Amino acid sequence: MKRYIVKLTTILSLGVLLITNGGCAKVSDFGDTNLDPNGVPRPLLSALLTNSEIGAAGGLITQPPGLFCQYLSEATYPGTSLYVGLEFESSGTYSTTLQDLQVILNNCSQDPVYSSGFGDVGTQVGVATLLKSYIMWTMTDRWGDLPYSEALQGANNLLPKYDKQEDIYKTLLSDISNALASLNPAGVAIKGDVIYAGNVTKWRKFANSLRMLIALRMSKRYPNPGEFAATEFQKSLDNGYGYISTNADNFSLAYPGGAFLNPIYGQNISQDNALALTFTDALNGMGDTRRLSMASNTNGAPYGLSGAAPIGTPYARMGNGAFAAANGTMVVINAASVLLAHAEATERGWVAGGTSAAKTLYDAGVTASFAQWGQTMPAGFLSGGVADYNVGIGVAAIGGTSVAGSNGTTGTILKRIALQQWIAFYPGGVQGWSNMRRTGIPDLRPTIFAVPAGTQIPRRYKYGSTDFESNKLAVEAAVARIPGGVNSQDAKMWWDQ
Amino acid sequence: MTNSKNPAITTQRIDNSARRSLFANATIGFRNYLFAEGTYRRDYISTEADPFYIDTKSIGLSFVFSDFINKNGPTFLSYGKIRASTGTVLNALGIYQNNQVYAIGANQFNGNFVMAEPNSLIDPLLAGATNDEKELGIELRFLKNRIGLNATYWDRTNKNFPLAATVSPYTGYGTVTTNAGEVKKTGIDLALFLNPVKTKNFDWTLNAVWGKLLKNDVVSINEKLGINTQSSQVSGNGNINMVSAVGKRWGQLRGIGIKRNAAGIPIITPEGLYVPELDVDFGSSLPDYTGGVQSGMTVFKNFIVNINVDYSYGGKYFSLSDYYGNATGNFKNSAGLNDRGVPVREAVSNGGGIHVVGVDANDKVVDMYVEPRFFYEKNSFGGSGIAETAVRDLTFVKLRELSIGYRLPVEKLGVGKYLTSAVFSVVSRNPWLIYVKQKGFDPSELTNSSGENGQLPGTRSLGVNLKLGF
Repeated sequence: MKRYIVKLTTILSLGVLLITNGGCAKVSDFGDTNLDPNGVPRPLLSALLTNSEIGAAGGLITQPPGLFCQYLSEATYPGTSLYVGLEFESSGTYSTTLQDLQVILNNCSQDPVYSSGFGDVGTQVGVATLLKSYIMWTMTDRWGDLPYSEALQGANNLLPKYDKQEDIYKTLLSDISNALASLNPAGVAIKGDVIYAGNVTKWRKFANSLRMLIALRMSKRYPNPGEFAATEFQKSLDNGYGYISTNADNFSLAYPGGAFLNPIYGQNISQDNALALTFTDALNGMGDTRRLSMASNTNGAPYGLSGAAPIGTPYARMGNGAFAAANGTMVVINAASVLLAHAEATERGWVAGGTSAAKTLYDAGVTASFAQWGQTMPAGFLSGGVADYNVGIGVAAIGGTSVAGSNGTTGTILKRIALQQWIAFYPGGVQGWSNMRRTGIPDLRPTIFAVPAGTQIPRRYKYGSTDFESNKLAVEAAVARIPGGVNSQDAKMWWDQ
Repeated sequence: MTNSKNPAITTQRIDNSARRSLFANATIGFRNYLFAEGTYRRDYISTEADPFYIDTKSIGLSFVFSDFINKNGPTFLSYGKIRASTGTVLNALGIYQNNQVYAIGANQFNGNFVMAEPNSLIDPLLAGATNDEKELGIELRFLKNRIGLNATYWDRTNKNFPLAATVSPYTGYGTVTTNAGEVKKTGIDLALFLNPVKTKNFDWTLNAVWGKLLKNDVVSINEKLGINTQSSQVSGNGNINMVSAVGKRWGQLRGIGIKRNAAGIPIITPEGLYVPELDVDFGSSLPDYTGGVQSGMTVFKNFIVNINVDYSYGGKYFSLSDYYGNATGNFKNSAGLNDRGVPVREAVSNGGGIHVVGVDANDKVVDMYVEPRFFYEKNSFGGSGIAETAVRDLTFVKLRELSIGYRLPVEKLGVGKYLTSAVFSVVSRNPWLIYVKQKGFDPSELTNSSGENGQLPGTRSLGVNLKLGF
C-alpha cells in the first residue's frame, strides 16, 4: 500500500483577468466582448431600402428572359438559349431583396417609433410594399405559382405553401392600393431612397404605372371592358396622381460606378452575351435610330447557335456609350412602356378615349422611348412609316436562319402596339418575354438548334432543385396545378392561358 | 489593383473573444500497473449564452498488463497496456455566433449606407455544446521495443451542437441556426512500429498508420423544425450537392447522373446523348480508409533518410475543372483518334466522332458516333447538366516527402561550444503521385471536402534545410 501514488493538479488561469476587472467582476462577466463591433444591432431601414432598390434595378437584365425574347444571344456557351435543362432557383430572391423589404415592413409595424427615424412610417410602408410587389410580379411572371402569403416569415413558417398566380396577382393589386393609401406626401421624406429621393408624388406615379402594367398582363384572362383587368387599370387613372408619362419620372437607378456598377456594364464585362440578331434586325429593318444607343454596333449575333460563335466577331453588346458606362443609368420602368400600356387599354376599350386617343398615347409612348435613348426619330416613322399606328407594317424576316420565320410584322393596331412594347421594354428581359407570351409579338420562332430538337420557346421557368429539397410537399402541390401536372417549361401560366 | 474591370473590394472586421478556464486533473496509480485519470474543466467563454460557461470532463483507466506477465522475468512482450476512457469535449460557439448584427456595407451608394438582412436566422437561445467521446485501446511492444502496435477504437457522438440547418429560402433566410442535430461516428485507428534493422551503422524504423471511419451516421438534423436533410451546392453548382440526410452517412455527393437501364447500361437519346437522372447518389465524399507509412533510416550515424508515403482508399470528389473542361472541349478526351482511327473532331460522316454505346428507351442497343462538341457540351452544363462524369475517385498513393540529411560533426568543426547539433538536409515535398485511380487531378491536394473548385494544381517543392540545435 505504500506504493500508492496520488497526484492532484489544479491549474487556475484566472488571475490576471480577474485583477484587471477590479476584483468585483464575476468570472463569467465578459462585458461587451461579445458585442460585434462590425455592425449595428438593429437594421438601418434606410440602408435596407437602398439595398433593395439596387437589387430591384439589377434584376432587370436577368439573362434567361432576355434570351427567350431574343434581345440577347449567347455567343460563347449556348445553353439557356437552346432551352435545354432549364431549371431556375426562385427562392434566392426571397432571402435577399424580398426579405430586406419584409424587415422594413416588420419594423414599421412593430416599432413605429424606431422606424420613424428613417422618415415617414406610412411612406416607408408604401414604398417597401411597392418594391416588394414589383419584384414579386417579376418572380411570378417567370415561375407562375410561388410562395407569397406564407413566405418571408422566418422560422414561423418553414414550409410556406405556393399561392396560385391568380391569387398573387390579386394580392399585388390590392397591395398597390394599400400602398397608395399609405404614402404620405405630408410626412417627413424617407431616407435611403436612391430611386426617387423620397418624392412621394413620383412614388404615386410609380404605383399607378405598376398597376397599369400588371392589369394589362391579364389581358388574355380578362380581355373585355368592365372585367377585372380593365377596372383595375381604370383605378390608376381615377385617383388623379398620374402615372409615369415623362422620362423625368422614370423608375430608374443612376449608378455611381466603382463598387456599384451599372448592370449593363457588368454584364458586358463577360463575353457571354451579345445582342441578338433578331433584335438588331428588327431595329435595322425599321430604320429605328434607337439602335444607335441600344446596341454597340449594327451586328447582332444569330440567336441560338449550336456552338460558340466564331471568336473575334465584333458582335453588338448591350448599350452604347453612356448607356453602357459603369456609371450609367438603368431604367426599370419607363414612360414609354406605361404610355403604350395606356394606349393598349384605350384601344381595347378598357378605358375612355377610343382609338384616336389611343393613337395619341401610342405616338407619345414611342416618342418617349426615342427621347429616353437620346435619338431623333426618323421622319415619317409614326406617320405613314413602319410604325404608323394605323398602317405600320413593322418588320419581316428577323433573326436569320437559326430562327427562320421569325418576324415583327404588324397587321393590326394591337400588334403595332405590342411590337413597340417589345422595343420599349428592352433591356428588361422579364417584361419583354412576358409581353411576348401575352401578345405573340414579335412572332419569334425557337432556334432550329434547340435541344432536344423541336423544343419550343419556354413559357415559364421550371422550379429549381432547392424547392424540391427544402419544401417538397408544397412545391409538389404547385406542380400538380400546372397544366399537364409536371414541372414543365412549356406549360402556360395562369395569365398566359 | 486598379487594373481590373471590376473594382477591387476591401473589407475589414474586428473579432474579439475571451476565455477563462479552470482545470483540474487527478491521476491515481496502483502498483504501477493500474492507473485512473480524471479531468474536469470549466471554460468561461465570452461567445456563450448565459451562464457563459461550459463544463467538460473525462475519466480514463489503463492497465499495464505486461508488468503482470513479466513478473517472473522478461518475455517477448516488452510492454502491454489496455486503456479505456470516456469524456466530453467542448464544441463552443464561434465569435458573435449568437449575437448577430447588421453589417454595414463597405461602400456607400451615393452617400447611402447599404445593408442586408443576414442570411441566417439565429435562435436567440443558441449555445455551445459538448461532444461525447469514448475510446478503447491497446498498446503492445515486443522484442525489446523493436515491434510496436497501437490499436484504438473510438466512438464520438456530436449532439445538440450549433447547426446552421438549411431551410427553404422562401422563409426569407437560407439557414436557421439552432442547437440541434446528432451525428454518430465510430472508427478504428491502428499504428504499427517496426525497427527491423538496428546496428551500429544502420538503423531503420518504420511507422505505419491506418484509420477507418466505421460509422458516420446522421441521427438527426433538426427535429424541432422537422428538418431531416441538409444539402449544399458543390462548387456553386446546382447540378451536384453535398447531402447529409437522417439515417444516412454524412457528406454524400448527390446530383444529376446518367440514366441507366436495369443492367446499368446508359440510355441514349436518338441524338446520341445521355438521359439525365436527378438525385443520383454518387457516394461518400469521405474515403473508406486512409493511412501512411513513414520510413526513417540512419546510415553511418550521420546520414538520415526519411520517406513519407500516404494513401487514401475509396470516396469520391467532384471536379469543377473536369466539369467545365469536358464541356468546353479543353480536355484531351475531345481530341485525338477514335476507335476507328479517325480524329474524333472530324465530321461523323468522315469517320470522326465519339463512339457512344448504350440502349435506347426500348432497351434496344444503340451504337453510334456523335460529334464531340455536341456530345460533351450537351451532356454537361451546356445541356442536361449531368455531373456524374465529373465525379471522380479519391483513391491515391502518394510519396509525400523525401528527405536526405547529414548530421554535421559540430565537435570536429570546433563549434561544439555553441551548437549541440546541426543537420543539413535536402527535402522534396510532393515528389511523386505514385498511384491515382483516376488520372488528371491529384486528389491528395483537394482544398474542399467536396472536391476541387477549379483550383490550381498542387506544387512539388525541392528545398534545403539547416536545423541547428543549441
